[in-house]
Amino acid sequence: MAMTDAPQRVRVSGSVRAESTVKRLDAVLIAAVVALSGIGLVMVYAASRDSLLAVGADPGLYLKKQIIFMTFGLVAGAAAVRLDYRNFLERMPLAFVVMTVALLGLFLVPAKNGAHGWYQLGLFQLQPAEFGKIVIIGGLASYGAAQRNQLDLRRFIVFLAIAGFPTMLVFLQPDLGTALVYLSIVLVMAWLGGAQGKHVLGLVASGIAMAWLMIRFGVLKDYQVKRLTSFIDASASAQDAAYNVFQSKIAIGAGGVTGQGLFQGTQTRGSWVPARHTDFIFSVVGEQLGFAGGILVVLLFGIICWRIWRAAVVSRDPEGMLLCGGVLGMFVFQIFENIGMTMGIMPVTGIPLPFLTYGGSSTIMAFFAIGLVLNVAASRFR
Amino acid sequence: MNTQQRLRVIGVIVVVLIAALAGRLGILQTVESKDAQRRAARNIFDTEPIEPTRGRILDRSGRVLVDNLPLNVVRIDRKKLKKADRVRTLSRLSALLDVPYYLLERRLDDNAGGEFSPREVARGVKESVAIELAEHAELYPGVAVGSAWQRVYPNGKTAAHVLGYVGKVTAEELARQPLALGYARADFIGKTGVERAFERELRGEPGKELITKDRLSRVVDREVTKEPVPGKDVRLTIDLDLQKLLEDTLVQTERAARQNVDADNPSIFIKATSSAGVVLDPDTGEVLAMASLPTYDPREFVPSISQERYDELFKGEEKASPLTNRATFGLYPPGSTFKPFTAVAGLRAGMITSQTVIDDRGEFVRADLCKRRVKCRWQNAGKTIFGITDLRKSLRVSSDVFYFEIGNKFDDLSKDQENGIQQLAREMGLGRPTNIRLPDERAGAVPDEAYRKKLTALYGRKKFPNDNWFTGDTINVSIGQGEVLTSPLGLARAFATLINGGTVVDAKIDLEIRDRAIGGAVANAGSASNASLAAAAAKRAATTATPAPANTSTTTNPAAPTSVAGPTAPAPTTMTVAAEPIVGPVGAPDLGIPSGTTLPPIAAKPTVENHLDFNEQDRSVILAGLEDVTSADGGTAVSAFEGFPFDRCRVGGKTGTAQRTGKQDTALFVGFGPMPKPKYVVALVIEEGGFGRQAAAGVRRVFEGLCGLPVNPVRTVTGAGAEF
Repeated sequence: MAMTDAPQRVRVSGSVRAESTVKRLDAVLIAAVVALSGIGLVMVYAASRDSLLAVGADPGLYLKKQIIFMTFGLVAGAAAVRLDYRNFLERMPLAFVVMTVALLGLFLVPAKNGAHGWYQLGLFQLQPAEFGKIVIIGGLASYGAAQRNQLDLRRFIVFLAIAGFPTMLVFLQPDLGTALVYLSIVLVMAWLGGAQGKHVLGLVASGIAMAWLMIRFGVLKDYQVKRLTSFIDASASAQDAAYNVFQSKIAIGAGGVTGQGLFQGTQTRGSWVPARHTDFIFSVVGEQLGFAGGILVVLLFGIICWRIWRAAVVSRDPEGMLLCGGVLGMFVFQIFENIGMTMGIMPVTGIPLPFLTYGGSSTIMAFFAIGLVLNVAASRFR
Repeated sequence: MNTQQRLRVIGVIVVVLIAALAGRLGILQTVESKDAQRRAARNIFDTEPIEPTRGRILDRSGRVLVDNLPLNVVRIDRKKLKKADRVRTLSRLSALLDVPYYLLERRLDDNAGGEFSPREVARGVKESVAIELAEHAELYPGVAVGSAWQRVYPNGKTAAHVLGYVGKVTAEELARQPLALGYARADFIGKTGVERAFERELRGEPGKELITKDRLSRVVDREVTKEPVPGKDVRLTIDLDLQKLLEDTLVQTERAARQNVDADNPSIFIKATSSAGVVLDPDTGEVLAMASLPTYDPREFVPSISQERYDELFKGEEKASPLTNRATFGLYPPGSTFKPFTAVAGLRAGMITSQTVIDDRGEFVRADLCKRRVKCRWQNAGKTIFGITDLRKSLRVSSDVFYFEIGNKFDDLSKDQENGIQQLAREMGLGRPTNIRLPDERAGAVPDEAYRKKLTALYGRKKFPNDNWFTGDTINVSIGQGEVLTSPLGLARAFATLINGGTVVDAKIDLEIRDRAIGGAVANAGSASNASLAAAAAKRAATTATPAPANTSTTTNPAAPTSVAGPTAPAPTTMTVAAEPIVGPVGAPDLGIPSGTTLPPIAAKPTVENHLDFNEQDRSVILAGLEDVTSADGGTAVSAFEGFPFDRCRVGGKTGTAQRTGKQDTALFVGFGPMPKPKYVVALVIEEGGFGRQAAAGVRRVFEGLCGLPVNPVRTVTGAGAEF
């Protein structure tokens, strides 16, 4: 691609090209996201109405707020579709500075629920770590593409260093879950960016070894167990985390094949499962809608992953491929970790389930990420 | 590896992960679903029993003898109260209930009711407290408010022995009693009296309530899965007024007896340690009144009695045991009250006729026994010489010699005929249970050789060395001595056989089992720990409790149209009533319709055990002799019945003064009346009471009430002469 093309491309990034992009959008991906978001809205309502009623609040409060979040998300997604992603990637150094400042600034505001994770903006909370995911993806895509998919050890270390500092900040909030999301993004993008297999495996192995040592240490000394536990779940003790998973498994199991019925189910209605409209929302799906509803959600996630993967495969440039790869790494980890946690096959970490979990930052981020993928997928037709 | 290959590796990983989720989901929701559902149910559902309202106990006209008071109780489930929360919770509870902390702790740690059952820590708490506990359940882990009832006794101690009391079911009862099936450890069960005998009817069936709780143990939902069936009311044969009269009479009789000195040892007074009395309908076997002294107050058992006090009641001073119903459980030698049975036996065996005359020289001697240097001389008490004595006179003056002669004739018969007296006595009901439906009846005994052999075989020769029947033994039996034992009720029933013309009826304490009148239902269905439920229950109670239970049953029994006679419609045969202040008037002589009747009387069907054919002429001679006892010159109870208006109420009876080794004589009197068709048999026994005539003085007072006469205080009966 000739350098002289670039200004021209910027110039035509107006309505003409946008219209052609809309026509080329991946209808399957959009349909899956819309279906999942619809299910998400219903489940947020189902998960929160009883607790809200119990305190005398509007039972639709969280539903309404989530609709607002999704509206913002749609706007963000539409913007992501319309922008020129290469242009977007060129802004990443600035975005990195903003993100780092935002993450550092978190430590200046008082901790909430034992963690420095949010800025309170009126009724809403801003979670910089969520938006940081996109910045990490963008930053790594930008660097990786520049290396033409050749990451030798030196470049691999640079690659890690780019993500390392924000990951550390998130880890220190403490928010182990999001830090792990960052890590999985790094792993997938390093792999797709051409890092050598042994380096990637070495990173995975050293990560596992570190975790093992920490747990080993923690088991030996009581106060270390608690410290480790606080990393896993800032708001509760390890025992509570295990109990929560136990109750979540009961909820999903009790759903059976057809479920207890929407707005039914004693486990999720009776507060036995914690964080029902956020981290454990899949328990609500499992208990109330049963295997039928649960497998539908898993399949919709499968379709989303498939379409993101396909967008990466068909992408004509490394930037697009790496962007989609990063989004895929992020989503797959969040989906597997979150749903796996509710079913007791993954440890408890507080990360949201895209499109289902109630929350502004994560919802807007997820829609923006999908917008980026749609953008990349459409771009190949140009 | 190029980019496409690397993407394919990622693709495979994604597929594997998504498949893993789907697989895990499938296993969780199919194979493990049943288990999870069970766990989910265990999580949130608690089945709580709903205590049924216990049936009431009514007197024969429907007056309430035992009622229920619904109340809130606070229980703590120790399984649900964590150690860490214990002090905090108990402190809060202590402030809320205004019960000292140490008391709550003691009640919580009390293991008497079984280790795992919830502990009741407070009873009768206010509705506001119940609501507070329900609304802030999270502050009181393991604490629950339930509903319960407790027994109330509108008439206090009256009929305590008949009614019995309830208490928490014990581990032994749970283990042993088939009756206690389906009882939880905190449940109440009838312990004695009617409460125990009619436990099945009174209790009703507990209901079940499914309680849905959330993680903070707040009650989310309550659903009655099984409505409790309230217990049925038991309507007794007891007449409340008569019962009060009898009890008061026992007190007075004991007091009067203690004014006398011991005939054998004039330096000491009569002890009159205890007494018992029964009023029986001789035709139906209905027990119209039954009392025992010393007595107790069933209110002491509400809500529960302390061990110390219980021991005191049980052991107390020597053999006082006020919990014992001596009317059914106390066994006494009948003494001379046995003589009518000996007479009937002699008549049946043809040994005497109603005209037979003997010359009573004050003693009876068997020369052959004197030669063998065993007891050969039997004397009238006080060695009184009655001279020419026939059957009628023998009863009036209570000649022993007349009966020694009959006993002696039986002694001379062959082995299979020598126990003719005993056989007859048993046929008439003595020594056999009256089958009254009370838990503590003893049958008594009428001994003969077979009986002695049985005892020896059962309990060993050490305890009962004498398993033979000797000449002279029957002579002792003939006057109601020598191991003859009967309860006051058993004695009254045997007399009833004589009075009613030979029909042996079972004694009856229950007139009917009634479904509870709806208006009387206590609104304690369901626990009141949910605020809204509590309010609803209170409302329900307020609206339904208005009609008095008695008034709801105004359906007149067509078979007895005059039965609903209220205070305004006295029975036509009512005699002038001069009420004694303490005891209310015993209205009409027909106790089936006393004043204030609210329930229609019931034509009770007697349970007939067997029937004896008496020679009516002989029987009339015996009855005449027994009537002479109270009203003819020389009658043993004449002094007790001095001034009694026999023209208005003909009462007969028999005194008894039974000897007991190591004790003062037992005083007995069995009266019946009004002649010629007696409606009542009244038996009264005073342990260590002296002469039988003193017991007769008590029976006289009962008949004053029964016949609608002015009721006088019981007098101390003194008098020379042998009146036994």
